[in-house]
Amino acid sequence: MKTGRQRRRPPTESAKPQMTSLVDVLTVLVFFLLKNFSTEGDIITPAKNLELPISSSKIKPENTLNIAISRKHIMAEGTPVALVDEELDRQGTDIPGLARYLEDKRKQTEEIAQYDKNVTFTGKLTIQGDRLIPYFLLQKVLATCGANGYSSFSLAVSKKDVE
Amino acid sequence: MSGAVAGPAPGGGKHRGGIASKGGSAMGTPIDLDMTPMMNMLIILISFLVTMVVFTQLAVIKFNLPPQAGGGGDQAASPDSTQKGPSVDITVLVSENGFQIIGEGRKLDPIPKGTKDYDYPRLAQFMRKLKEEYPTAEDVVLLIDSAIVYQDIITTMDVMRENKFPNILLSGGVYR
Repeated sequence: MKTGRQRRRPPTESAKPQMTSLVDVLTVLVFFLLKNFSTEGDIITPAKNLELPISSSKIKPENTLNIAISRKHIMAEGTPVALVDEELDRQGTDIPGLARYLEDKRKQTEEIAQYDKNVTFTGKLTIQGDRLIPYFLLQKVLATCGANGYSSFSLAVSKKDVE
Repeated sequence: MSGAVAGPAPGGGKHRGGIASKGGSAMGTPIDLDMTPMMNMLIILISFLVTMVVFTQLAVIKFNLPPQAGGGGDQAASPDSTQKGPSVDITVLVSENGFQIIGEGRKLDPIPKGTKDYDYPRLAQFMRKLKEEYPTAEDVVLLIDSAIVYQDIITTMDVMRENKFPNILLSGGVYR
């Protein structure tokens, strides 16, 4: 005998999940992530194997020459130019490896600037330092950069989460 | 059996539950959209975006050295900062024992370091008081001991900036 219930849900029909709400959720998620994604456009990538200090600063980073000081190496644009342990033992304010790199870079930029009016040597530099490096080392890096004509620094930090 | 379900619904209402019946198509057969490829695409897109999202928000702290400085020491005193208002030289000494504010020829009470961290709230309190006393002052010199850890320097700079001393000058500490 056929009751109404049996006619509506015969045993052969498989259960289907409600796709509409799922798709809704996913679409909203996609839009949200896309929005986040596009605003993060031209940012400097944090260097690997170092932890940036936390700060309340809100100034946006610029795309400049990048110096990273990790616990083992001092890196310029991702290539190691000096070892931290060696530099800590060395007297004086100079870091020869870094100085050489910066000088080359500056000469390069100035040479390009002769031919291209849009390029000027600004002396801007972003420094990413691990949160545990001593001031002594930072000071050496700053002194070396200053001596080679780079005098406008941005210290990279990671933003505090508290909003 | 299934024919009865998929077939046209003469009665409307009771025959199918939910949205389909209210949709009220004349034929009564709602087309079943195949959502699977769309779901696939969305899920792939989401996993891609999630991996690309930058979780650590970056910011920077800016400061300048005067050109050609840094040969000998690293006195980051900017010469043009003295132009506005009477200059008040406030120096904050950061050592391993804590802070000491020195300014205008007098020393304020030292702020000892706590058991594991510096006493930043206390320093902030002192800087606020100093700001009230010298509202035009904007410069502060940080005299930092060479063994101080980077995070502490940054946090000290934060305290200075939050208390309206935006021109932070780093001074060469004691060399080893």
